[in-house]
Amino acid sequence: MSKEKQTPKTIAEILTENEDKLLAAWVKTIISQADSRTGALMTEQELGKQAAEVLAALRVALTAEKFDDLTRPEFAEVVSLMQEISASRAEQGFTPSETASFVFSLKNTLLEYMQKELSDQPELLNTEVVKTNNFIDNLGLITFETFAKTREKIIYEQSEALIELATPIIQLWDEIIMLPLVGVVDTRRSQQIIENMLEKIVQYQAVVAILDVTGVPIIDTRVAQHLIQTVTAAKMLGTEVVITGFSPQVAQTLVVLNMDLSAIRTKGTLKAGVAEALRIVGKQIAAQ
Amino acid sequence: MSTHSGVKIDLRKQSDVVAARQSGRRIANDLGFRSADQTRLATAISELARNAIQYAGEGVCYITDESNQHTAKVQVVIEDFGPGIPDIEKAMTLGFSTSDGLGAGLQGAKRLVHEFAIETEPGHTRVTIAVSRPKE
Repeated sequence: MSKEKQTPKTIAEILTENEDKLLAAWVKTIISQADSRTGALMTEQELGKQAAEVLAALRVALTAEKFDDLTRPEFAEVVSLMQEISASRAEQGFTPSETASFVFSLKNTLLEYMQKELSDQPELLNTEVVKTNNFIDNLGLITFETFAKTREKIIYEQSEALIELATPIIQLWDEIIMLPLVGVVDTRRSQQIIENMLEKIVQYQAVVAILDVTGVPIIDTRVAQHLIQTVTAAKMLGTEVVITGFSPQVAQTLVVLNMDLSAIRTKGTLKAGVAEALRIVGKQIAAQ
Repeated sequence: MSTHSGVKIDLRKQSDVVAARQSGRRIANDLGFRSADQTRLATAISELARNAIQYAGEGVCYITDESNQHTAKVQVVIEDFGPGIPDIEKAMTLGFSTSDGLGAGLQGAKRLVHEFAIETEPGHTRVTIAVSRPKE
């Protein structure tokens, strides 16, 4: 073939001419990558479909004159496609490198074909290689960004879900309920605790509520105030609250902070709190 | 010579308060502070970081290892660019609180640590605290 007189081929043309072969080679590269679970996490068919969509969008994108600015309209489709794919990868539990290798493996495949097609035009090859490199690197950045954003979203949703789970209320005995508090007590959470507790006090006709704070590592003035509010609210319903599980460090800190918890019944351990609660309702545990 | 290693934590939301006090506790633990001192430092950071978010919207917390040959020392600087504390004398007086706990928090933080300094003016508030102990 003599190409000297022809207009030089662009990457877009190379891509169009070799689309099927390129696609097959690309998918093979992804699947065969060492320590990648892409092959295990999705079927080859799914992967092929995604790859084909990306190539089709890429064909449009590569008609652009300049590749340095991804906000150009030609790139809209391929960019949104890559974002979609990265987001779904993050949700499926792919690692960041597995996600990024999807787009980066395209680089090698593309470059291979460009070298083949443009072997007799080194200068053109050179500029096209630089363009392609830049372009795929930019796509890679987008992939990373979307991946990280999606993961952040997942973490946020999980922490929301955890707040829901984290305040179980247990009926310990007739008229006695217990709330084990674990983790961070902030304003939002304490409101939820108060609401839940008051609701359960009414539901179980509780005379005593044990609030165990063994799992709360730091009690500062704000948390102490929330605890006082909780106790005050319960008292209005005629329920005694016994707080248990202050650690010696927390007790010392609260004294230094000048927080007056003397109006609140406290017991060092949950065991002592249970004994106190039983005493209040006039019950006792006896040996048979 | 000390290593002067440290961390910077942006304070924007409640979970940043937790991150800040956990870092403080970890650094104090690494420097061999007793668990009571760790808890006191963490609680003081919690008070001040929360104040920054509550009154200024956001702030920054720097925690550094300021140890030297004889003393192990953790220094914490909490800075915000909010309205400042108009009457700092009053804010440091027992029983003073603007909404729920600025006074109690500031005084509490002061009593919890070994060193406490506050500079405040409209647009900038900077609280520096430190715990220290002699090295064996």
